Amino acid sequence: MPEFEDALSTALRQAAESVLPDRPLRLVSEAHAQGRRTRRRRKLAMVTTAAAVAAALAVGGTVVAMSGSDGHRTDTMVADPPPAGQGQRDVQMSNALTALLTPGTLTGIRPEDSIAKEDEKAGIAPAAGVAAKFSNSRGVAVVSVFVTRKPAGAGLSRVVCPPGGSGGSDGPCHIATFKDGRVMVSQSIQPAPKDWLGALYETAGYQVTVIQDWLRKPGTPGGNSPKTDAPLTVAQLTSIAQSDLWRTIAAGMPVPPGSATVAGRFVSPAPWS
Amino acid sequence: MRQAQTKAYIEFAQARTRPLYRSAWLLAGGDTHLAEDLVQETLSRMYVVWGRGSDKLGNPAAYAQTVLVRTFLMHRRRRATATERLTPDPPESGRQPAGGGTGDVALRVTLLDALARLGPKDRAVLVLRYWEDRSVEDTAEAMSATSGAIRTRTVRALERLRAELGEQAADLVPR
Repeated sequence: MPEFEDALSTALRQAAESVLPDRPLRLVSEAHAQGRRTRRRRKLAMVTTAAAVAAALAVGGTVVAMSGSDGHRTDTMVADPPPAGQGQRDVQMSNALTALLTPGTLTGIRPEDSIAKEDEKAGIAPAAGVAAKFSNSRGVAVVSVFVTRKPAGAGLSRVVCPPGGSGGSDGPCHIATFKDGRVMVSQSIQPAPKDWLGALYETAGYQVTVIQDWLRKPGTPGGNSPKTDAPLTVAQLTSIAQSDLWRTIAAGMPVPPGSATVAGRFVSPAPWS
Repeated sequence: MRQAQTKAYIEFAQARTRPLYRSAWLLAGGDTHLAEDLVQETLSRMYVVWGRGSDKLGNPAAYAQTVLVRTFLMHRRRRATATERLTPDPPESGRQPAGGGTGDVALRVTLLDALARLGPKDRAVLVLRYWEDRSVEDTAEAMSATSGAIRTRTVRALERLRAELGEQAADLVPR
């Protein structure tokens, strides 16, 4: 074994000695900015906690622990437990997105649930949504997730990739069908193939869409062949879409009427730009 | 943070980016995207502790390596909790072999693939012991484990790596 250990040490050295990050200076500046944001959030959390402790003591509230957006645990006080239903689902959606988008920084996380009355009028199934600004070493994007419970017995949608040259859907499209009928679709959309990436995961009971809007800095090379990768790869998006966390959330949603259809949902990235 | 502290942090970060990236690259099994994310996360955490006084860190470079390993292990744990599944045909991967070599490239790719198939703790223990040349005690401290547990894990991780490499394990040993 010692011979193998020596050889492994040498092989690791040979493998890694010439490895360099693509943009070391950018990595440092992004880390610096991320560190500053974390420090600011912690300071704010301390102030908020102190105020919340006082408020909760005044009304005899309870303490709950919530996971912060950077993965560090932040104690937050609430006077009453969160209401069941939509409020609770919003928390579950936020927690799921926080857990799945790592490593990286998540800011401005907010619920994007559809409006039940409008859905009912339009005959579409309601969706639980969440969106946030996500940043990592490769850039900044707005990431949104929508979970839709399908009507009972709706079956699987017939998913096809759009034909090439059809305007807004020229990017690469990939469909994977599982043996049990589950479908995974990934798609990138013009104007530049990697500016807008989406993943759709559908089972017999629910559908999840994960969309990434890449927020490029002005002057960043764009066009149809961007030279850098988007903050999240297609593989990451499909992995997020398949998480069991969404299945749990979908299971807690009311079953829509049999006539309801499943509609695509989108979030404008403008509020985070 | 005072201006002098910030300047010292930037100098530190610039000096440590490459060594951290190499370790992160091995921990990530050659996934350059994940390696960059791990380094950024590590350096941002270093910034947070830097504000409390870099003199309290003792050896900031070694501390940063420890933060990197813990960030990696935490990342893997979270992904496991979130029940990560592979798609039948992943459309995109960030894994890349190191450039620069010629005849050994295939062996490097094989080694990286074998490393990537190990569990995160096995991978971490091998990188710390055989890439960073850390002692059992230092490795135990970095991985929040006992020295005995690290010794056992090292032996098992080496066995697993040998098994993953199969016949190509012999190619690692110079003849």
